[in-house]
Amino acid sequence: MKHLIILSLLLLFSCQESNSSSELNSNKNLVQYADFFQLIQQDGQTILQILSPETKKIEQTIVINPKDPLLKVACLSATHVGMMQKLNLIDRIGAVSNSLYIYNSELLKNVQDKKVLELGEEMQIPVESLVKSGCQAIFYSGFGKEFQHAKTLNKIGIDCLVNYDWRESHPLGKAEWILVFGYLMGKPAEAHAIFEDLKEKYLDLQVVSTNRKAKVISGNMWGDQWNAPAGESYQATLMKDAGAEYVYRKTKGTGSVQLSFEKIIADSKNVEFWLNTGIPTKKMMVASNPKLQNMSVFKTGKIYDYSRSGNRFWEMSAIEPHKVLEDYIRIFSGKNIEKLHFYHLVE
Amino acid sequence: MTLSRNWIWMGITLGIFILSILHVLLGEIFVSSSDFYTFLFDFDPDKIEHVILKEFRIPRLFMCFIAGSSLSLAGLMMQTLFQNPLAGPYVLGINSGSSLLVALSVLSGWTFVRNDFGLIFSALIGAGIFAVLILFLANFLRNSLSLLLVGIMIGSFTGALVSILQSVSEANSLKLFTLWSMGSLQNVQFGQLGVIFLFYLLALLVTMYYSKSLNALILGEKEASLLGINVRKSRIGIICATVLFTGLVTAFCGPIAFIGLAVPNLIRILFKTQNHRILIPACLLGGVVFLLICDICVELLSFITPLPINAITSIIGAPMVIYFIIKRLA
Amino acid sequence: MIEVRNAKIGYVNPLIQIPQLNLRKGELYGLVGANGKGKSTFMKSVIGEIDLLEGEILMDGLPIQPTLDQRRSKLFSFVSSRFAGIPHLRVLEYVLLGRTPYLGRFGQVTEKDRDASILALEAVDILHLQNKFTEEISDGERQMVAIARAMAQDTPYVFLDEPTAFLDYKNKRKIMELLQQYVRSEEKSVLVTSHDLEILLQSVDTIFCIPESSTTMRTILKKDFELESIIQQTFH
Repeated sequence: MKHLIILSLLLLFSCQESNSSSELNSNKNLVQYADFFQLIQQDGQTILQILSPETKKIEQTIVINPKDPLLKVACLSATHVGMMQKLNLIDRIGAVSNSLYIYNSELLKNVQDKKVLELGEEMQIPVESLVKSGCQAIFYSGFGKEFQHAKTLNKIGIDCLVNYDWRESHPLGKAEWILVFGYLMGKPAEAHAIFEDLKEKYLDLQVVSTNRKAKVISGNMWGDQWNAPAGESYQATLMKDAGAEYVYRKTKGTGSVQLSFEKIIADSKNVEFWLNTGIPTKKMMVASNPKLQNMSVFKTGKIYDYSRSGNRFWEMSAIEPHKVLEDYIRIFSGKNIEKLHFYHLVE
Repeated sequence: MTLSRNWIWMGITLGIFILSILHVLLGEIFVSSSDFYTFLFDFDPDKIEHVILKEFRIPRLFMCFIAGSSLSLAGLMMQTLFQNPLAGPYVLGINSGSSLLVALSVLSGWTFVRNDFGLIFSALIGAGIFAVLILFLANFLRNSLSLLLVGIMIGSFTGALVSILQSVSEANSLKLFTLWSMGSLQNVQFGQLGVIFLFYLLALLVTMYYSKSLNALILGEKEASLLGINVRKSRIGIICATVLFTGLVTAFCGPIAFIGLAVPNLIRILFKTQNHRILIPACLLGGVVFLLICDICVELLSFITPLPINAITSIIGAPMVIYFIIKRLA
Repeated sequence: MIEVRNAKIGYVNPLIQIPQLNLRKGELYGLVGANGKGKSTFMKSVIGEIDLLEGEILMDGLPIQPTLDQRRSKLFSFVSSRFAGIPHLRVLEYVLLGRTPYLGRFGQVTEKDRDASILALEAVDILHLQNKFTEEISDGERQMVAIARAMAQDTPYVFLDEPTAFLDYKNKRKIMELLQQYVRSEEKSVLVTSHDLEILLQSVDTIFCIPESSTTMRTILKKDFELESIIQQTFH
């Protein structure tokens, strides 16, 4: 039983030209911020198009059937779980990747009660168990080039849906992926309402300009390289919207940039704030790389990280960008610093 | 013959000198020679160039010296002991020990190991445990060939354990482990240099003490014994030095490939001798030159893309060895 | 002088019984026997690598001790049937390795060691090969080099285990003549095992024979040398 009509890129290859996204722009696109999916209203139908972050071409096309929503799905990423929770659909999650990464207590209980299956890594999910679980579709992040079992799963009638929320460069674009869940699960109105609400909150908070801009650095060492969010990334947008001056705001790209530690030392000389260390205490930071002590911001600056909120951060931050923004604003301004949602001071 | 050999010595020494200067001055942040001068005689902890020299450039240069020479010497000893030019510092499985412990601490999610001690500590413990194991076996096994086989078996066994850990671990830890396994000369801090040098010196002295045994062992253990060498004692001593050298390097830099295999062979071809009283200093210096060249390549290419030292050593090393072998045959 | 008295030699069961055997200085000895009759075991026993099952071995009148490597290497030197050569090892370096027992702790080579090696190379008439690599010379030359190494080791007793096995007739003769000369001029005691009975009989002073039919070693003096009868005893 196939619930959705998914046309993969390969199938579309012959009629790619006529079906390109530009032509469909004449129809109404319901998406405002997200770059990698579109919801097109056409002839009384809603068509969901997932776009490839690399080529911007349509990767999957789904004609939404409001009368036949998905009733049981597998969610491989924490972000998916957060969005399902916002839509009050935790009971429709039939499989997850690993309970170690779950924050939601209801879902955790379902895993413990064996009502929800654990699938493991995206690249190596056990096909037979997934079939047995009765899930109609699987949401995955598309880290690899191709979803390994896509063909097999499609044959058995399990739809494989890629979620590029993690590639979005705007926090609201990332949050907007809740619409994908809303439409597929038969809750479009709820999804729109949730998104409009958080959008409003985000835009209200957004700092348009401040006189004194806090200088910020973000990221940490990975091996011999420092991984910093690139200038057009989700993190960089948040820092900008919180009224801070991110050191690498001018770098290109929506992902991350790799920098040598020497450069970091030099560039972070007058930086006050350091975000997203990925490590909760200074002691652990020193253990992970003793040379971090040579950064002046390590000694004299303020360091904030999300790692203590753990799975909650990964599950909720995407769908609550206004709370992340609020954290940033509080961190940079020093006001209401005791009421952070996700972040904590690294000591 | 003597003249050309003197030229080689001079070339290597001069090479080390020039390469060292290049190595210290190269990098993302421009450091001038006057910065270097004031660094030496008038250190200012607030001057960024000085901090970079002290915390980054000097330790990295130092590790080029230590790792390059240690691995070459360890490789030389193993090739002689096992009478096999394909032997290298890792045949005893010391790096497997480090790799297993690092994998355990990074991949298994034992956060307390991972965060409170750091990778160097895990690697040191791993090298230590396996060193004791190898020494125990060396004392127990009658000939070196069995030891070689046992070393390879231990390597495969722990390799399999590491694979299992890798398959069940999450992406971030996996990346961290992969990064470790690619080797790095940049993890050492200024303050650790003293201890590292001490252990290095110890291993070097042991190596020099056994140069006579090593010379005789060229002919095999039986012949060496007939020439008055206490083979059992020498074997233990040689393994001790090798374990110290490789354990030290693996702990602080990760497993760095190829030097231990390539440099001793290159040196034998260049110097055309099996006399370890020449081979030991030659491998020491040759290893330094080789690793300096590799690391300078890493520094130069880092403007384009970050590269692991492990990849560069093999990319530069393999064609060099092939060239010399072909040239020698021709 | 080495004297073997009423000895039984072997690992567990006696392979060879020797009522009486002497190795004197200035004499060249041959040891013959079929393969597997215990020629190598005999040599290992004499140098103390294997304990005697019975009897005793005296060296210059004193019982020989299970000697340490270091001391043994100044008493006995060995040449095996084949030295295949070693990459990058030069002839002179190889001969110098024979001086290992006399070197200092760190293997430093003195003028005396160098002279002894050069002399050894001269004695076997291959000084011109000194800077060649051991891999690039001929089989015959390599065997000469191996003998030169044993000479450089300068031990009173030299054992050669089938040194002529892989050589052509000319080189076999050359090696035996060389050993004859060496024994006379340097007052050494040299023992050669060989299957080349004809050549052996022409050069050695005494033959020790392990007969096919029994385990008791027989000593045959030069006056009793007779090729046919020795072949008969040894191999039939």
